[in-house]
Amino acid sequence: MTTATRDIEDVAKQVAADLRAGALTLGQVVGLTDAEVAAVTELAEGYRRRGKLQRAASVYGLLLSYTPYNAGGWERLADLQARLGNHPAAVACYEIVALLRDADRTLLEREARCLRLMGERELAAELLSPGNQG
Amino acid sequence: MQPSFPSTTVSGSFWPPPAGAAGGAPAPAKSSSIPDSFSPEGARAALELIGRARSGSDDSPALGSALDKMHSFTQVTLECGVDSAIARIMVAQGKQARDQIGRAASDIKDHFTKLKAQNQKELKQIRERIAARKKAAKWGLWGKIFKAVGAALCAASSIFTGPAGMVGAALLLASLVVSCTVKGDAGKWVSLGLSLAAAAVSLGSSLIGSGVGSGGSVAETALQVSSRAADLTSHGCTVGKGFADRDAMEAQAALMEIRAIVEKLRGENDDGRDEIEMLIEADSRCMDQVLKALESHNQTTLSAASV
Repeated sequence: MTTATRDIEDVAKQVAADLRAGALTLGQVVGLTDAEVAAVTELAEGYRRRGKLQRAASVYGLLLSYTPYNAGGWERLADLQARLGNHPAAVACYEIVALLRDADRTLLEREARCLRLMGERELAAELLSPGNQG
Repeated sequence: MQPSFPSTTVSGSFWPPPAGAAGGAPAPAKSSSIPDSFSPEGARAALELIGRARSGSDDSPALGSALDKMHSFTQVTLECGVDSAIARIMVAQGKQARDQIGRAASDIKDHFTKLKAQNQKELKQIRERIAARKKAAKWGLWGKIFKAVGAALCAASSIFTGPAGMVGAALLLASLVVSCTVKGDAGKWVSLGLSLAAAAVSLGSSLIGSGVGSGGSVAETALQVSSRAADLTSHGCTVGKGFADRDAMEAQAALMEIRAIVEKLRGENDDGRDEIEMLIEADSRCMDQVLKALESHNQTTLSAASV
């Protein structure tokens, strides 16, 4: 084994550690570029526009496993889950969006709608109350 | 959000690596050595999903490149595990960098150092957002929402402590969401990245919240949180697997283990050594599973995974 190869493998060890430490994502490790992320997003959007919601959700899930801090992706997945009738999953996705960025009123309303459909009317009202926004 | 690799260092064609580019990369292990949580079935399902996406897509170079990277990473992971896949990528990147422009490992290291710095900024923003929620008395609402989306998800969230830890909880929740909602076995696979991210964020929060400066050395603290992260990662994947399989009993068993660890963590003191011992005792089965898998890899992989 050459010195150069050992150097690279030392970097690999550090990258593995950084991945576990949350300092890197899988997308960064495999080298996904912004253009590539956008292309996969467009693929999922194409499925969505053609009404293939489950497939669109799957592609978003795949993409988000590589780019878990992608708030826009989580929002689209949340909407897809809501349309697929998987309201608990949609709510969880909306909460992740809220973690990744400031949640706007429309997002909260969509989340509240899912909560109501789950039978959580009080929780939905609490989510939309003035004290819980902003 | 995803910074691209500097084009002056490595072009977009570095992945998949050319034949032989792996150089001193680990030899593929038999798939039977892959832990259950990284199941071959899940990876194959992911490959199928990517294959369908390829066949149904146009000729977008960016899409093709992205799918190639995902496919290659998944394929190598299927063959020899996640850590070996990472090692191979790094070796391939380094080789291409050296071949093309004469640069070496330091460029790769610098690149990832920059990415780490960017991610730290984002994580800081998330922590500040969580702190603001807590200050605005929204903390309770969050807990209620997690309870509403399911007892299992709520239990998963409880394994993390502290504000930043809740970020990890959310990402782990995300992995569970993907696991139980993505059609077919693909969910098992796609939850992997999120589980890793969840454990990773948890690790970061541990460093910030309890370790550095309050107890032993930085090295000792790193050892503590590494053990915890490995522990939580295996649990996260186990729970995800249970959901993907629709195997309620398995998921329940995993959750019981998580709850047991939570109880132990609640009683933890500042003595890092005690914490490590508690974690190992609480989850010896999972750790044994991981170690057995790692033993089948070569020394590079073992070292990478045991940091």
